Amino acid sequence: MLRKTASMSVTGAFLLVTLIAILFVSPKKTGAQTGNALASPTPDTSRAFADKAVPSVRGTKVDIWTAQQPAQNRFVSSPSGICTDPICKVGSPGFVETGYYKGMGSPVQNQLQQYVTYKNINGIPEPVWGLGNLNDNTWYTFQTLYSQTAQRWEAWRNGQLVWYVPTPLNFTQGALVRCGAEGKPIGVQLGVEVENMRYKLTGGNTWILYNYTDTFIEGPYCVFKPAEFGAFGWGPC
Amino acid sequence: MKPRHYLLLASLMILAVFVVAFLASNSQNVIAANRPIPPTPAPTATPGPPPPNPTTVPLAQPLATQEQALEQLSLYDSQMAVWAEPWSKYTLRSQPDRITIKAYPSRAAESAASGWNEWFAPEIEADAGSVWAITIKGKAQVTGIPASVGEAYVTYQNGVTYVISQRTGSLLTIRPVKPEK
Repeated sequence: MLRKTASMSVTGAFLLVTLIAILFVSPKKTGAQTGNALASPTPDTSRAFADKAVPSVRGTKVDIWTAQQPAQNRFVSSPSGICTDPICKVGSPGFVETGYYKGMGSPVQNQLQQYVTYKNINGIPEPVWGLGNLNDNTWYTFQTLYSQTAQRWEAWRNGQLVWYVPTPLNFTQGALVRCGAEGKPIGVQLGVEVENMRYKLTGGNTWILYNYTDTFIEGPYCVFKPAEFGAFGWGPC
Repeated sequence: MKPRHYLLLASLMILAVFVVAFLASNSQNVIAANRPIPPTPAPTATPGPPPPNPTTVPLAQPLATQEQALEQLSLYDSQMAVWAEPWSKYTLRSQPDRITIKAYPSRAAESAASGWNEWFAPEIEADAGSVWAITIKGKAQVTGIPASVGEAYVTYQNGVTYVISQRTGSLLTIRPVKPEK
């Protein structure tokens, strides 16, 4: 009996010591892994996107008003593009987008420029700036397109091809079209107006107009809210 | 022979003459066709459109050296990137394996070297001119990248290659550094 009790006590003590060891060692291990100044990923909330799920979409074309963007903004951009995921969130989706870009982090201070960002599925975004200087208070038509004849993703402005990447991305169509406004830092005033949103399907060659009421609004910013530097709205406003 | 036969014979002879003449004429054409045609003088070349002019205001002095390029880059990097292991211009000498700087004659040339082979409209190439590609190894989080997936910043695990214009000093591209095999 005594031997059995002693055996149980030794086993219990061993388990207790093991548990304590796990509790003490685990936090140290986690701390070592994150032992630098880099923060944990957080979602961006400074955006107002109009999303529309469109299966087999290969092009998007949007009229965008550049407005007069404030000089002190870190950056404001007007993304319009295609995402491979119908819920285009941080993570693995591939995408191609274009639009205008301006800001303190941009190459030319307070100069609007066209940009492209593209990303393979499971890849890392590759931004391309300096695709033409743009004017304030001007309408531009921005377009992303997967050319089925040339087999490449392209970016256009006002009917002119400005950029393409012939090395294949690992997708040729998307599941979502998106346009809207994005800025930094969080809380920055956004003022991007977009109209005449159109998309093109794989196998088709016509631009299909869609109404803003079809879209899902992504982000906490208001829709069609008059702003200091323009109005954020789209469709037949 | 009756006169009618003479008439028929004469008609046949005339017809034969015509056939021979026709064949001879055709053979002349065939010979003429096989004869080499003298080359026609080339038309005067129509002057094409002049090369586009750059639109971005250039730097007072272009970035001629690696040190100048790194100094210009630090203006952007300090605003956009947080590094697990910070770097400075002295890192170029103290850790030569960490920072590499290469010059390319155009954006397209740099893109080809990176494996993407992007094409840029002529006016965009003219605007950028020659470029520097500056690779900094290490883990970094970079903000200010427009990305419709809504990332507040992009984490580069192995490092970043910045591409900047020698003429304007503009930041043109950010590329992830591929992991070493």
